[in-house]
Amino acid sequence: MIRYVSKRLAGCIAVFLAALCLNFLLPRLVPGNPIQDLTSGVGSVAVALDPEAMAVISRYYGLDRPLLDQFRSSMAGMLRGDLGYSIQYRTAVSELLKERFPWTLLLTLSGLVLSFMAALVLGARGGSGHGTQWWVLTPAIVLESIPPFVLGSLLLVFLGVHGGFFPLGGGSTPFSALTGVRKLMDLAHHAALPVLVLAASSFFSFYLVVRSSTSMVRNEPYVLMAHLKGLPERTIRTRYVLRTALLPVVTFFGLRLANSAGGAILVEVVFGYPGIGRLTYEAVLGHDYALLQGCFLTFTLWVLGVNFITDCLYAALDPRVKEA
Amino acid sequence: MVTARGILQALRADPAGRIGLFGLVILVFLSAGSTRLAPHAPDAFVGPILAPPGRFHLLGTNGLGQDILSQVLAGCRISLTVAVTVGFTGTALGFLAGAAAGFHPKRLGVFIMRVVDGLMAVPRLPLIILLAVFLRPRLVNVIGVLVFLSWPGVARTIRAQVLSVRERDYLRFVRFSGGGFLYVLRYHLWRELLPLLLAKAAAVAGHAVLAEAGLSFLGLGDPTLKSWGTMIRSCLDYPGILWTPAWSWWLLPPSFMVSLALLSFTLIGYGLDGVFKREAAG
Repeated sequence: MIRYVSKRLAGCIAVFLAALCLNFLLPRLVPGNPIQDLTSGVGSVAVALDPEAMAVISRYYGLDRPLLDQFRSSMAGMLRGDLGYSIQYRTAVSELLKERFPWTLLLTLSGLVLSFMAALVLGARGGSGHGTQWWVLTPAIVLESIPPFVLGSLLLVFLGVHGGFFPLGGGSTPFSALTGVRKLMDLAHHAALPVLVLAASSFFSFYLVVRSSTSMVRNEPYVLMAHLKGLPERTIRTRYVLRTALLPVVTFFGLRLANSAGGAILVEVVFGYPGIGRLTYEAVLGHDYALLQGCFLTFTLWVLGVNFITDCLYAALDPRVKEA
Repeated sequence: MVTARGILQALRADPAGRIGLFGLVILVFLSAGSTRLAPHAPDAFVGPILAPPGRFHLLGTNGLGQDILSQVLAGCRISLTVAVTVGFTGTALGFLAGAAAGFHPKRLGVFIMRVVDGLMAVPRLPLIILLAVFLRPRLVNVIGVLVFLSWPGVARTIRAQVLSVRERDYLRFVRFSGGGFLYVLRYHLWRELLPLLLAKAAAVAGHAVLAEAGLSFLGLGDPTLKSWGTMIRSCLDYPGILWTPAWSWWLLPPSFMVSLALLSFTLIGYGLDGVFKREAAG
């Protein structure tokens, strides 16, 4: 068990280091440089700088030092929690990320739990051998095919603009000073549509996994034995089948949780939700590269962390993994 | 013996596969005839702004007076180009890498799988965005990034299959009689795994369409091209558009087309998966 966990941990750290290197090298490898962008890039006022001024700026930002030297100082900064300075918000990148991350967490977690529950209820029935459930499968495939940002825009138009049931954007009502239950209700009201979109987009794959997993377990001899003993269908379904069938679903939940953080970017943009996804988008619009890289690192860390925890959880739940 | 024709027939017999193929045929037809069918150039200002669908503009015009029908057709061409190139290149690369990793599982295989694991552990969309920002926003670059990110998933599946296939008696015999990697790849693995490869290609193509639409929606696609994502973006960006009836003919056509493309690829992939499972079961 310990060997397994430490092996996984080593893999995670290796990938994280690779992501760090990519993050550092990418802006330096592509054509153009920040000073050029400053003077003649998109969205900046064109100013002509003489070579001496350019040299001064480049020395000020440490861009004239050797690459390895720059890498070392940027890594040292990262260890101190210093991810750079956002030129757009005029604050430290780490502060911004800390402030925005809980919003994304709220959105993705509730969306996943919602679709997970729906898939569990519908999928556990579907595995019981009554043939394919076309009435679930067809709408699920269609929903899966609509890209989340398109589904989001459509829901926004129908339920938000014309129905008037939901707010059009944001994470909470600004300047409202609500407290207690009212505040929670306000948060839920704002999160409802994006959560619904995220849940709809992940439902189909969840449903498939639950269904195939339950139908596999259903053919096990011990389930047949339970039937022969005359146990009620309900008990067999929950106590015997679902418990075993949930193992692969746990892994899948982790996988989706890891991926959903990135998938939420577009949904957050549509609904103007104040999470990391929208922050990423704003960083792209504002040419705020330090912020963009900070967002990318957060996503990487999130994915690696979730994957690692899932692996450990799986190893703890399934005794067969430990022997491997 | 698995042939392309046999797979096509099996796919047409499958209800999901039939609907998917039908959708794909429509898309191919629209994009092949896009220059001929389109009444105007996608970026030409040809009419009054926000004109409702009518005799002169079948699907109406957008906020700049451009013809929506022409833009939808042009977008069809872009999406299909991305889908086909990424689908084929990504799957081919993944097939080569996965087969090599399965055929030489010791050193080369371990190395390839490490790379695959690493690439798959990094969050996809953020990485696509990061790469798209730092590379120049051109269609070729978008395609390149998508290919780069799509092959690891294919490689992982193919490797698992090759590992089991290579231990079958006839392949042991082929290797024993001196058949090398390329020989086995060309005469055995290729035919054995063709349905799976096509299923993977369909899935990769679907993801590519989705990613391209998403990138254009974020404004990171090729700014000189009118893709579906760009259309949706520009509609939502138009101030107050959602309170006028104009959103219905500006927003709905590209939304519908993206969904149709994704649905077709999903269903084809679903159908091909079934074909492969039936093949594998005998």
